[in-house]
Amino acid sequence: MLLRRLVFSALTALLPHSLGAQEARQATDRTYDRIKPSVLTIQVHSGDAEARGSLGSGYVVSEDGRVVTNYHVVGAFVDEPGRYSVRARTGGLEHPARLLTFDLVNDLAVLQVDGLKAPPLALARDVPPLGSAIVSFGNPQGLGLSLIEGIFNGFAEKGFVDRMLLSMPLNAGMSGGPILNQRAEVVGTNVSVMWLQNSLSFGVPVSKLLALLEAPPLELTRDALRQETHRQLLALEQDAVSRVIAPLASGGDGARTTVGPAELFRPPGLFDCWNNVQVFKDEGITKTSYGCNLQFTPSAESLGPVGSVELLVEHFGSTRAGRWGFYGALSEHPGSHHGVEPRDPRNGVLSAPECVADRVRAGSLTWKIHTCLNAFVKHPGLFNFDLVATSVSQPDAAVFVGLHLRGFGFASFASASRGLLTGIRLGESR
Amino acid sequence: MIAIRLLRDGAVVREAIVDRLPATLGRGPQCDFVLADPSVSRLHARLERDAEGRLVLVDVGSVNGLHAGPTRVSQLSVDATVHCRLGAAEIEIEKVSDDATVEVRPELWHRYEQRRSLGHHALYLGLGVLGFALRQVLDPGFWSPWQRSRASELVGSLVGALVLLPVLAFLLFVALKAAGRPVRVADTLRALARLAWLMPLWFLLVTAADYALGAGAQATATALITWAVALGAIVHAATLRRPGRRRGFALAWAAAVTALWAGGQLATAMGQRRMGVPQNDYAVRPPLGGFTGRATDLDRYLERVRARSSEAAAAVEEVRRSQDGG
Repeated sequence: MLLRRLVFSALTALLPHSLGAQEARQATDRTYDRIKPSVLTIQVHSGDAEARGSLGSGYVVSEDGRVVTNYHVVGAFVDEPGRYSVRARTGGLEHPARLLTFDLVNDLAVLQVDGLKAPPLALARDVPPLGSAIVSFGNPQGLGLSLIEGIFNGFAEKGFVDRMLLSMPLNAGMSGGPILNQRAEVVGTNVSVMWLQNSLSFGVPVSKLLALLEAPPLELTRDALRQETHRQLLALEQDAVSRVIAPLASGGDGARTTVGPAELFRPPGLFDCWNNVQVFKDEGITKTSYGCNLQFTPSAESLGPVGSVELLVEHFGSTRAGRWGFYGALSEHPGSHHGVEPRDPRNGVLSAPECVADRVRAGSLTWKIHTCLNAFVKHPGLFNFDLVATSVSQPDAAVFVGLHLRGFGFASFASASRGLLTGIRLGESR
Repeated sequence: MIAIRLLRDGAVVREAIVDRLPATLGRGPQCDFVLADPSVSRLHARLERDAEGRLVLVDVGSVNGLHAGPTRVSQLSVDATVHCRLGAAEIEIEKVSDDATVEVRPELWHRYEQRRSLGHHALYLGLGVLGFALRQVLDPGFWSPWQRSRASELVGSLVGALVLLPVLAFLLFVALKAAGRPVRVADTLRALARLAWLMPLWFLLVTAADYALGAGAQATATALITWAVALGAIVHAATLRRPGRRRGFALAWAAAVTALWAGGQLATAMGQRRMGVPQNDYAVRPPLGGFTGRATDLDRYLERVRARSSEAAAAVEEVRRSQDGG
């Protein structure tokens, strides 16, 4: 307890330094008082002790008590409505909350909380100017209502959904809290912190909220909610197919990128890509890697690992080793050959992996392809695919391809893998 | 003609041939086969033909009796070879054929040759070590540029084989000797040298199968080849210095060991299946010359993946139903 008090006083001591101007300080004070009653703590409770509860924040957006939060805060309830209940807490009072609608792609949910006497927050009509100051509210770790100041940096350039890029350290439990501009209007909703980064956070722009507020309320039975989850996931897959898989399969604009002497169709610009060259001088081996990934949905535990594409292409060139020895080198330095995890089919999330391995001709090369897939228990028609392909066509050059799809149908996998493998050409390496 | 042999601990210590019946056995000096054992009566048993003309051994009122195995009997028919006990004395009775002599060809003499010189031992050991070395040299990893100390690696494994082979040969010798086999260390050493050559043979067969059958059938082919080689090794060890008439038994024994092993493998595979362990197969074999082996086309491969995805979907459908039910 003493330690916690010490930490708090240390934090308050730090704040004035970081704020700077006196006027900003006063503006923040006023905002805090005005907004405080409209920000709620959202809790998901379970009837039995075994199930996990979750904690987040939310804010009032209408006179009749509609409250916005993140999908991932109430995800457990959406998954098992019979097992959980949602409650909203403000000023020491607890109110039952009812789920109206959700949008799992943008990570938003709308709740109805009756008996609230809080003024609704105004929604901003336009995007704040780049570099403008913003404030965010929430209840970090359930400790108490807190305000964090930050800067709006525009939208993240990579990624599948629009995300506001914020310079501020959001914390767990602040998910679903409002992001306000200087006129105290809502410009977005807190959603996540960049993994392992110090103070870069993301928000969902308010424009995504407007459509959701118009949507009719959902029926709160397990089947209806499951159907809605399934509908949204399939719509997401459709969207992913047209924006990501189809360009990957057809070669998009025809632009190519190189991985050492090998080349492949450049993945669509949404992908976050990197490349790397490693030269092993003594062994006479050069390894060139090119990897891309794309995350689609919030990582909500209730959904399972749905919604990402990852690809990795590696080229190994050898100048010194003989044919036999080069293959020995490959088996000792296997690059993307990471194995598929065992998966107990009784865990209720994914089926056990089913694997198919064969030597296959695709494009100008011959590959050894190893594919494992798991089916999602809760999302019929969606699978995880892990493909690892190795070209054995040349005595001094090898190409590894890894393609990992999470939450896709077979057709998407087939067109993505076909496009990727047939699009790879191997130039002269010596 | 009938041979009567006195045994001690299973080994023959005295033999007598009788050609006139009846013949008597006992401690008394007037007997045709004298047994100087205090548990044997002066006149203990008589070897004679019964009413039907069959050869029988009859107890003639002895104190300690005539025993076939654990049971005391009054008479015993002698069809082929019979082991029995007079009191505490163990004897064997066998009808001896007076057919024409069987000719033994000179090359068969080597099979029964028991003593071999130190040179033979060295030769067998050398062959075994060579088998080990060949397996190592065939491995692509040995020629990998990451492999920095090729010579010391090779010498190390040769020295290892040089120590391992005699130790294993001695252990096998002790085991076979305990099973009553007339083996010598040279026999077990030669058997192990042959088994050492199975390793490079196995590698070559698996590699060849991979190219001939394509990677899809490679796992099955590897398993089959591994089984055949292992079975060969087991049979080889089992029939080591077995007298010819017991070959059927040795094969049955090898089959039993194999069946036990197969059961174990099957149980492991089923357990892994239940725990959802993937059948990972990332192995990429080096090309033989410019040849990359048999390959299927991508559409056919993807069709197989689709079939697997349907299987997985059907499996989770069951899980889903059971969850909804529960």
